[in-house]
Amino acid sequence: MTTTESTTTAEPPGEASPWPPPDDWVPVDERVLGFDKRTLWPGLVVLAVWAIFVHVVPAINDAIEFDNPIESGDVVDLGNEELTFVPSVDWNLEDGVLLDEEGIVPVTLGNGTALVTEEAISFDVLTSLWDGDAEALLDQVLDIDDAIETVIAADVQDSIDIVNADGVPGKLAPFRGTEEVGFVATYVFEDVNVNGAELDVGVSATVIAEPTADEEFADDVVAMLQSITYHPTAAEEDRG
Amino acid sequence: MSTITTPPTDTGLAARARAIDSSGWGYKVKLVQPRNFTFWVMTFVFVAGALNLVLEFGPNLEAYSTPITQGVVWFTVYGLAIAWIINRLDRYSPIPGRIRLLAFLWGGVAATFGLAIHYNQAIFAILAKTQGISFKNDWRAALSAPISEEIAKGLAVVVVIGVAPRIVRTATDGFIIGAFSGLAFQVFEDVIYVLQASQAGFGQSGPGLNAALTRTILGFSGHWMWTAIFCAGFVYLIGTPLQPPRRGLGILMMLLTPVGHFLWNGAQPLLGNPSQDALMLTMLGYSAVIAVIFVAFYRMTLPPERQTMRDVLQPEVDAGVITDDELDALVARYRVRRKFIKAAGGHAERRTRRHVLEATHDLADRIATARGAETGEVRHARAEIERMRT
Repeated sequence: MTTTESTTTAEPPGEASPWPPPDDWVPVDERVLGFDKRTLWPGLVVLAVWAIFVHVVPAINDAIEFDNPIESGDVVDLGNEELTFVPSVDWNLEDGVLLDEEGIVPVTLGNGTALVTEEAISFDVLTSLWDGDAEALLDQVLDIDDAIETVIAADVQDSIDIVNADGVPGKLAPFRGTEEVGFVATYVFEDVNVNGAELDVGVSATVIAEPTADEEFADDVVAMLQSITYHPTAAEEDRG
Repeated sequence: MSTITTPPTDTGLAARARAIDSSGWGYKVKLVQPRNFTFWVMTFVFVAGALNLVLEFGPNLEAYSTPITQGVVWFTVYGLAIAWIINRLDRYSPIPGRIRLLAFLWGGVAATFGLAIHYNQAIFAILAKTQGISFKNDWRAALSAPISEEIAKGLAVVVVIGVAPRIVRTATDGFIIGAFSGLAFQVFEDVIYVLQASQAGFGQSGPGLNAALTRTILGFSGHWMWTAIFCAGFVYLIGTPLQPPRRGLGILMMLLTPVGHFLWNGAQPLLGNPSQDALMLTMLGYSAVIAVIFVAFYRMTLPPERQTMRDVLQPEVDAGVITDDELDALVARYRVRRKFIKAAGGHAERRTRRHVLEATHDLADRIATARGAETGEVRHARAEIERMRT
């Protein structure tokens, strides 16, 4: 204390302290609500960006209805305009490109996706190159599908055989959760021409129905499942 | 504010003291600052980002363990290689390690999962709802990322200015902070791409590996370069005690990054869906252009950093510890430095010159860390230069 006192008394009034302040020292006249006011603007900039990115833009999205009803004759392109499926009329197309609404970058084989919904039912289609049969694909999808994970109550029933409209065989496994019910169906289209190479393309359709789903839509679901077909352009030309 | 402990006794030492004080070189950063508002906002966004990261990867860890592991391992190696390059670029008054780490984590966790991902997903949906799904598929990458990602990554420099304003004194400082933030964004995003490619491929690892390969080749001139330019531009825009504002240049650099990013993300639809080979060649050419722009801006930011190095070391020239030529070489461009080393003659002499320059660099760092005081470490660093000569 003696040293401090003598130093203090030795300093003329108004002179700066001879002691360097700690680096994080915040002078009283630089504080706002206890914070260093010099640190306010960077924090406010970050906070503003966070509010816009995390709340404002998503709120705008939430305010816009997804109204994209399927009309008669609509066909979804699942790849190269050769792998297609026909969604049921009045269902809502939330993902997937219609044949007559192709964009600049076309849907290529092995990359097509689609999602159609009807109130309490979703019909989600995924395609990819797949080296194996429909049963192996079914097992794989049951292993990895996030959507099933959220409803599944470890009650996947035995798989059954199905065929599409062209007679291509597939597999279907129903499952029952605590509330929702649904199924996964798979097809594998063999020797598909992908950029000149003969490859197999797998298709999975994951259908989930909430308890409020109306049974009248069951026919729609079956029709959509059977409508997943592959018609190579070259073959049509040959036929023509 | 701190003061320099060594009293300036002549103009050389006074210039050194001013250079150290104004550059923030050797400044010890304390990250936990309860009175710092930016610290709390930063912590909040970090926590939000980390939670979202867990939600993104957590449920997939079991089903997609192979592609996630492959992505993490590969892009860690890739990230370390680019981090090494960034460290080499930060050759004058270097950014402290914990600020580099902060910038890196900001880009990887806060910017990616705390900010950009929310904006991007909402914009994708808005585009699909208002412009149609085909339009969304074609343009979603070009119309979301250039705005959201450049801003989110670029905030790294704002955060660092908030928690350690003394560190951001030159455009080079912004450049390095941005490079680390962008690098982390890139690395984390690449792992997400590997995961998404695998998800789209029924969990097979082949599509994930393809995505990793493409991202590796095309990612070299990626996010880290753009964000470096953006953050350097921000420093030019606001100015610092060492860097007078150059607002026009700053705005140009900050606008260039989203425009460049738009051209990159929109290349496929902009070019009318060219063949894969043509697209790849175009992107490789564009990568080279980006790299050239990156190097040009980096060089443009250097003069204040070089001047600081010169001011710190000039008293050593006056005292005969190093020569004028050695100081000139130390603050010169790479080619000039190499020429200086080659001019030494034989292999041993060239090695000596290289070591002397490196040791002089160490000395400058010690002097700055000691705030110009004559400490044992400074004396040791000086003795090391002498030892390299013998």
